[in-house]
Parts: sequence; structure tokens; C-alpha cells
Amino acid sequence: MRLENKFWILLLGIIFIAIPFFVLGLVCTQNADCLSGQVCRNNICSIEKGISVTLIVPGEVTPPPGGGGGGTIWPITTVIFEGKAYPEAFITFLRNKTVIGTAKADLKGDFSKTFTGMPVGVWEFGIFAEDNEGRKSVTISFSTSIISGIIMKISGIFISPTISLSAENVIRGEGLDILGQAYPKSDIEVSVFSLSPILQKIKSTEKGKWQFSLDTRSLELGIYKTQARARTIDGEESYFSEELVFKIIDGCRGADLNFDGKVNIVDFSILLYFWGQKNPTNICADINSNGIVDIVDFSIMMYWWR
Amino acid sequence: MKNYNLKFKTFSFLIVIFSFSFLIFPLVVRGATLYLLPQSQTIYKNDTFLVEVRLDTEGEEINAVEVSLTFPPNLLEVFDLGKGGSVLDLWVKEPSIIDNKASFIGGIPGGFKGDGLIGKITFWGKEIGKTEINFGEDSKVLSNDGKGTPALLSFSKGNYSIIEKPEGLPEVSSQSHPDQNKWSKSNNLHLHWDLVEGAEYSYLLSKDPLAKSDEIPDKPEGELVWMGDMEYKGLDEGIYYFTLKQKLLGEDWSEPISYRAMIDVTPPEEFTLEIGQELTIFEGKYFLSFATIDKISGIDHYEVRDGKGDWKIAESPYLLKDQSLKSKILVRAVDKAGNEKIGEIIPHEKPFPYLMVILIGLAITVMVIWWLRKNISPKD
Repeated sequence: MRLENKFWILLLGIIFIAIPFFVLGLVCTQNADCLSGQVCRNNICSIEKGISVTLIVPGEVTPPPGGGGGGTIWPITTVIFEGKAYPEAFITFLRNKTVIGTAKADLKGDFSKTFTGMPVGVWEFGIFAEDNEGRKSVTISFSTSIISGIIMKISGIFISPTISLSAENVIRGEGLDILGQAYPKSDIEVSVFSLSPILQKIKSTEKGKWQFSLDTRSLELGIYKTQARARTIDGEESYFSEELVFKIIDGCRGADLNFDGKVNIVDFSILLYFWGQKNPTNICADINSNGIVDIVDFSIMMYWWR
Repeated sequence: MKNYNLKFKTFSFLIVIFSFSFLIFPLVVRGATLYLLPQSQTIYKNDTFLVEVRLDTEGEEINAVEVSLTFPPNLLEVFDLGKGGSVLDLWVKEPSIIDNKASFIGGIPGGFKGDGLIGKITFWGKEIGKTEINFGEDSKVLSNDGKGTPALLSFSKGNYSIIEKPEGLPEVSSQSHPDQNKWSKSNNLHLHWDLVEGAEYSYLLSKDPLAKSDEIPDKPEGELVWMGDMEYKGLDEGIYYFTLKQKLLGEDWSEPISYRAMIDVTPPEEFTLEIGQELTIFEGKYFLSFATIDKISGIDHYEVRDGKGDWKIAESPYLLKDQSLKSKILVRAVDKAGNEKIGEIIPHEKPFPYLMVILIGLAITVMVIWWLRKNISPKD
């Protein structure tokens, strides 16, 4: 085929791929270019995962304070956030990274928060939850336009599960607990990533707690990542949780806490980081394995210092 | 005969017991001792005084120390804690006071054997009374045996008396070292007190906190009229105590008055700086570990300058801002006299892969030329 023919084919291909984006209104420069309930992200209109924006009824109007007659109308804009988290979770709401309010989820894990007098404009909202054991979720961020004089309901906010690890260094063969909280009685999908990902499904309890015990016997030595997501019976899916990292090791190396073959100030720093911890998440910091990182571990390190 | 046998057996038994006691007794007595220096002192109310916390390992080699001291808070208050000159090279945490307990915890890589300083405490005598400073029973000294075996430890407490300051004593001041509780970089000490007409003075400058001036009148040499100023130039580093007694006309020598001057002109020691990375701290991000010691006044604080930023007070381990490890990092250790030592670390920068880039570029060029030659027909 001649070169110039190939050039024209390539150009037409680009045009045919690009047209649908323009015709269907998928290309945008701002949220207003998108359909209702969509947001403009990276110049493409997209629907935030499960979140829907509903305009309910026009809001009431009230005269300005202290003014009489005049005829000036000041519409009230009300925004209602609704979603799912975990039982008695503490929900924080952000607007352009500033906290605007908080709420507490009920015993079923549902929450609702109403803001009146929300200023109009395009805002980036953020929502995160803290479970009743002190773990925090990732922050869900989305942008939307607030229109004056109406009540907007932003629902379908399904906050990601919280997640924590029983240890960050695991000796191969020992169990590792991956646990947290999620919406009660939902399916929790726990992913463990390395070369070949492991996917496990468990159920959260009535109180929203979930726990998965990973068997490390057949796993290779190395660094792994893990994440979790919740799915309700109705098929609603949460965002992914924070990604946590852990390491599978064949054993601790005495006072060489960072496995670099030396016992020096870096190892001392690691020891200090876990100082006083009982059953530390870095099990190697407890050099003498007596269940606590204390002065005995420090003394052993001083002995091997080079 | 029977009597003789009985006596012989009894005597033999006593000999055996006596011999065993020689074997056991040294083991009971041997062990490290924590003690205070001075072990006793008389201080005037509202004056401050300095106590050294010391360890005599009694021949044992140790490498880690955790010391706590208790004192009556109604009579004493801790003004300052110092680690300058300590045998401990690494500190788990800064010397501190929690619930009226002073705490020192640190170690020595490679161990220590002998008699050495652990730390210093400056106390303020709040109220009149007799007081004890005791070592806490939870104090520990661990052997340098790779197992952290606790060494046998005994304590020697301190006894101190706080008394009312007699009236009429001269007031000593210093322009060069105005604060007795602060270290100074100046090794020229200037002292002053107002002379009383007809009075005689006996004074002494010493590093011994218990040394007192004798009662032989002293006066600086020289032809100028003495106005009560004393100048000591070129002093070595350390803590000096100037004691002064006054004899007014027709009266006996007064009680001594003391003035403390602390001198440190030497910067801290050379730094140990390392960049580390560990999955379980700082989420696996690069951090900087650093430490040094100051042999006289002790390290007051560290500052870090990460790349082109400003100096900021920091602690080790320090999370690096530039995780690409391209920026130079400076660390400044400042001792209590204001002397500084700067250490720097330039993280290893990976060399630009010039060879790989050239090879890839050549390969692309060859492929393009080959493609063009194949696809351009003779008519073109």
C-alpha cells in the first residue's frame, strides 16, 4: 500500500473515533457541558460511581434580613447527602478540601446529612468515614454544580470499607489477618496483589465487621498489596478501600531490621518507630520476641552495631 | 576420742562453709552502681544546683541504660536535663520529666566499662527542707552480651539541704555569662559584685561544686583600683563554680555565695547520616536517619534543610520531601551553647541511561528508514 493511502486511513480512523464523543456530548470543558448527574473529568463526561444527583423541588424564598419591601428574592439552596458507610461511623463532609459538616451513620450503616444555604457554583465535595475502631476510609471526591433556589439530593454514596492488617511483616507460614468495617451483611471482596492476584469473598457481620485470614504458606516472599470493596445484596458497589502493603519474609534477621546486611542507625530508627509497641506490626522490631519493643531489643541492637 | 572426732567434723564443716562464702560473697557484691554527684550538698532557697547522674559498671561491660530518678516536688523542681558528655551515644528519647520522675534512656554501641556520666539534672530549690533524690527501682542497666541480660544493679541516693539564704551576702553577677543555667560559647568569664567599704573577700574558681573559698583574703593583682570585677580569660570548657566569702569590718567571714558558669566552645561531633527505606515506616517512603553527640553541653536540637527549602527543626527519622532522592540534604546539630555542626548527604542519583537511549533511537531510525524504503514505490 502506498504511503499516502495509509496516511488517509489513519486520519479517517481518528475522525471516526472522535465523532461519537462530540455528538453524544461526552467531550466537555466543564460539568455544565455534561448531562444531569454526570461530571466533567479529564474533558470527558462521566458518571461518578453510583452517585446520583437529583433535583427535587424548587426551594422556598425569603426576604433578606433587615430589609423590607424591595422585592429582592434570595433563594435557599439545600443539598442532601445520602449514602452507606458502617454502623455508627463518623462521616466528614468536605467542600473544596474544607470541612463543612459531620454526621453519624445509624446502626444499619446508613447516613444522611442536609446542608442549607449552600453557595451556588461548581464545587468539589469530599466524604470520608471513620469507623468505631478509629480506622478511616479513603475520601470519595466528586465535583458537581450547585444551582440556586433548588433542593439537590446527592445519593448513592457508598463509602469504601476500612481496612487494617494484623502485621506488616509476616513470616511465611504464619497467618495474616486483613480486617475492617463495611456496610453490614454485604459481600466483601478482598484482593491481594502480587504477580498473580488473589481474590477472596467474605461477608461482613450485622455490625459491619469483616475479617479475612490470609494463609501465607504458599505465597512467595516479597511485597504484597491488599484492598477491599463491598457489594450489597442489591448489587450496589462501594469504592475500593485504601491499598495497604505488607511483606512476606522468611524470618527476621536479628537486629538488621531493614535487611540490608548492616546494623546501623537506620535499624535504630526503625526500632524507635515501634518503641513500646506490644506485638508490633513489624514483628522483627521485637528482636527477642518477648512481645514488646523495649530496652532489651535496644541492647541486642547495640551489641550487633557496626 | 569421740569428742575429738566431733570437734574435727565441726571444724571441717565450718571451714567448708567459710570457703563457700568467699565464692558467693563476691557475686553478691559485684554489679553496677548508679550514683549521684555530688552525693550531698547544701543549697540556698531559690538557687539552682546541678547534679550528675553517674554509672560505675564495676568491671561489667554494659550497653544500654534506663534510669529513672524521683524527687520531692514540693521541695525541688527540675530546671533542665542535659546529656552533654554522657557515655551514651544513642538516645531512645530525650531526657525527660514525667510525673516528677526524671528519665534517661539510651545506649552505647559496642558497650562501655568503667565510671561514666549518664546525664545531668539542674534542680531548683523551691522550699526549705532536707530532701533525697532516689533512683527508681525500675532503673535498668543491660549487659553487652547480645541478649540484653540485666546487670546486677545497686543505687546510691543523694541527700540535699535547702536552707534560707543569709542576709547581707554579696550578689555576684556576670556580663559574659549572665544566666547560670545557660551554656555559653565564651571562654572569658567576667564576674562582678559590689564591694563594701572596708570588707575583705576570699574567692575561688573551681570545677568542683563542693569546693569553697578559704578564709584568706584575696584581691586581684594589678595597680588599678579594684571595683569588684573579676576576669578569667581563656578558660577550658566545662562547668565552673565561683564561690565568694565576705568579711565585713569587725565581723566573721560570711557564708559562701556561689555562681555557676557553663562554657562550651566546641561544636558537636561529626554526623552519622543514612537514608533508609522500610515498608513498615512512613509507608515505605525514604527517610533520613541522623545522630551525633556533643561532649560538653549536649545536643539541643537538629534542623534539616531538604533541597532548596528553609531550615526546619526536625527529629530522626525524618521523612524526606524529595522522594526522588535528587536533592541535597543538610542536617544541622546545635548544642546548648549554640555551636553548630552541619552534615550533608547527596542521595545517589541514578545515571542517565545515555547508552540505552542512543540504542533505542538508532533502532527506531533504522526501522523508519526500512519502512519508508519498502513503501515508497519507484514512481514516487
